[in-house]
Amino acid sequence: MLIFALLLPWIAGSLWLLWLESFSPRLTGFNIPRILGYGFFLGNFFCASLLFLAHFLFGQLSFAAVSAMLLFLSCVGFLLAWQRTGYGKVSIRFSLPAMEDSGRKLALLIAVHLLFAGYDALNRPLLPWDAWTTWTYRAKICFQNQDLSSFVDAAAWLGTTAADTYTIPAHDYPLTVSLIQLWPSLATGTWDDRLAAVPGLFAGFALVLALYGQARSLKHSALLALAGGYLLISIPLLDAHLALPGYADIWLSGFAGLGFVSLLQWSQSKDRVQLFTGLLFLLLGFFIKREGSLWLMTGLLFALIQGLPLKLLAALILAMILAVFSGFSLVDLPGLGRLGYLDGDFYLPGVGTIRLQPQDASLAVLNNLFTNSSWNLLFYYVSTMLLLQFLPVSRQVRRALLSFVLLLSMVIATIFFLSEKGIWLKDSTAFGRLLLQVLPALVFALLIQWRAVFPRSQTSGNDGP
Amino acid sequence: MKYLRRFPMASSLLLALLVIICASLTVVYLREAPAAFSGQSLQIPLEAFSIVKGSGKRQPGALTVDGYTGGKAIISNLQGLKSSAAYRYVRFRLTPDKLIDTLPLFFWRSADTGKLHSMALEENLLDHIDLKQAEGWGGAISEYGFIFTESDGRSWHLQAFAFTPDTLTQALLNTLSDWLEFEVWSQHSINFIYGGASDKQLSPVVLAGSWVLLTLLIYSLIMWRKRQSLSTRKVAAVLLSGWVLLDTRWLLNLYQQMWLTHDTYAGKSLSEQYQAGLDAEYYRFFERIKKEVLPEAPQFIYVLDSRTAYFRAKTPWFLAPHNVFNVDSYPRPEYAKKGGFILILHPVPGLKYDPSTRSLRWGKKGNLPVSPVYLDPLGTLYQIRPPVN
Repeated sequence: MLIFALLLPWIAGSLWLLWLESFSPRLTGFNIPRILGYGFFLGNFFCASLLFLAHFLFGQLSFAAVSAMLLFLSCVGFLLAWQRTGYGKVSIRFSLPAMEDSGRKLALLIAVHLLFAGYDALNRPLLPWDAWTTWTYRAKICFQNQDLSSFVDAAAWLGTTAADTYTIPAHDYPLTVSLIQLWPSLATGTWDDRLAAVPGLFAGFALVLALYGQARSLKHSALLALAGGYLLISIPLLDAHLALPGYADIWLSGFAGLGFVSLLQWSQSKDRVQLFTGLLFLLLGFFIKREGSLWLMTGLLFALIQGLPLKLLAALILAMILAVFSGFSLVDLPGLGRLGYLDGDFYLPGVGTIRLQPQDASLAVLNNLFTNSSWNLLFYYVSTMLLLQFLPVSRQVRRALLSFVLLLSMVIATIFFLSEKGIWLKDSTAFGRLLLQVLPALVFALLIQWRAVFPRSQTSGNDGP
Repeated sequence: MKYLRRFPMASSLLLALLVIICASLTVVYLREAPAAFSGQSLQIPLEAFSIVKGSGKRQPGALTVDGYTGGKAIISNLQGLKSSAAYRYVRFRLTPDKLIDTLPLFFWRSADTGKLHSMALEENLLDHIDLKQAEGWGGAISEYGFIFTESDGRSWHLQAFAFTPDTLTQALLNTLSDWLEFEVWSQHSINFIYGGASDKQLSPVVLAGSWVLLTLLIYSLIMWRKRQSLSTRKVAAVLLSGWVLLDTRWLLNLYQQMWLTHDTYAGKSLSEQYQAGLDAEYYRFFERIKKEVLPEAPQFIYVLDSRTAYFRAKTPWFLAPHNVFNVDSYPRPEYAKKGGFILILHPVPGLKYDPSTRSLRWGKKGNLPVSPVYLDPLGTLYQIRPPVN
């Protein structure tokens, strides 16, 4: 039953991704690793949404009802994909690429990382703080009450006598990840911390699959695509989140991180399906964690920078500067909230207010990126990648990579250098996790740079654009 | 120069390695300021140690402590150390080496025997200590050893102990030991990874990163001078080699962690796993409250605690599905209206139970009628009584 529960959302998500990718101008067939990688996250989002919907419709948490809806979604996804191929043969064959020795070693290293993380995740009780105070705690309460119990702030909780209303400090965080963690226990009918960890563990594998697929679409050889997957899975902080599951950051890495990967892919291939997938995943990230809205806005800006002609972009920036100096620095987005800056406060939809309060956090940033072992050598290579932009490289590559890293730096600067949240950097509690959310895109940016520096290293590839 | 042009990549690798080694030696020498280049370590035989509080036994190659008196056990070397200034580090092997909260190494100085000096060993720094950092270290030491606090019937095995001198060789050995220090999963792991000891002098990440980038720089310059293009394979190999080098250290850490997890938790039920971990005592306490005192239907429970944020924050998790409020130190007026239970984990200053009025009292007017329903060294549970009028 557990395997059924884990595979069903994955299949549903992958079939819908298959349909979506059928709009892509393929050369030879579907990019199965990419579909499976992205499909895992989409499917789990379906699963959480359906749990919520089923509770709304039937007033209870029903495994059977949600399974039936997921099966229905899978059938619809398949029929849509089949219809796109003219009701012919849906070519989803995938054969493992012929690998030389180095490829086998890299695949083995990826497997070893997943094995170590998996062994820890499945053999120990829940460890990380926010897991047992927030994310998994809500799943446990919902399971034990067999109900979607509500969570409110302390003042509201003290004012009510409703037994099914609970309070936690992070009561306003989206419920999606908690529902994903609840699903395996709902399938087996018993609560177990270790069951709640299983989807998070699979998320690591799905991230590697998605990145491998995207690298193949860049026309990288299987070896280089595997190297990308290895770089990702061997990042120690990612390993920690796989071995000590319960936080939402790895899920946001699947939505915001892979969303940015798709946008970067679109910036190179101009495949509009990737643009749509990227924006869709960034939008879904909004329902994973509050930072999702930050990444959605960053993604929209990135898409604008890539999509608009430079002259129009410059005019737009000039207009924005003029608007700010004319006193129009704040807009009210209907249904989303305020966006902009006013009287020392930044307003971001979904995040709320960030008070302008400059912090001296540069040493903490350098220490986090370059001295401790959270990232292996990732930021040495990202820095080198930035330096290489000053050499003659393709304008398309330079525009994509520079704008991505600059936007990312702006987000970090706003949060950690200009706001009171800089204190989180000094005690290192949030900085690493914020970067983890876009980690797949940073690794993918390196793969794009590699292709630009060594164009001869690419192969014709057989996984489509 | 001939070799540089003939074997550009190999030469670049070696040249960069040479530069990095020289730079590292300089940094270690300048930071540690060792007094000499070589010197003799002083191995302390295990026979020199005796159990002065608690109980245990001697085994071949180990001194084991497994009994506690008044919650403490002490092993000590009463022979002391005459010229402590000659030694800068103490190295030891003590197992289990990672399931501890604090483990003080203590010593008495001959000059001021009334004063006990202790050093709480930090996480990720458990096989050697820099005594230069220890307040009071110097002169003749009359006694030294370890003080163990009883925790869940844990036993300790001391297997080696040595004082090592202030030499460059020792400083380098310690640096190497810092790099290979096992970093156990803890609350910080989800936010950052130290990569060995937390306060190491040289970061292996900086060294590996500098080595890779310097190699590529030298290689690029050579190839530029030779007017040849870079070899894709060689550049990829160098980039990956630095990464794999650090990953090997990380995999070793993961491997050790996997065995620690295996030894501590594998094959156990969830309940047994909690009882094998650091939360064991509190887990059992919360389970007793759930099974023996609280009704099955979810109750309102207010946790009051003035000392540990950790267990107060973890109470809702262990008592779920009971509805726990863990924000306060003192009761609020709303508690009486909502009813339920108050759980006091550690005594809150200014808050006390008054048996004559059967109420919790605090401040000048604070008063909440309660009945104690469960008393335990780890906490007291009171049931809130409705007001009389």
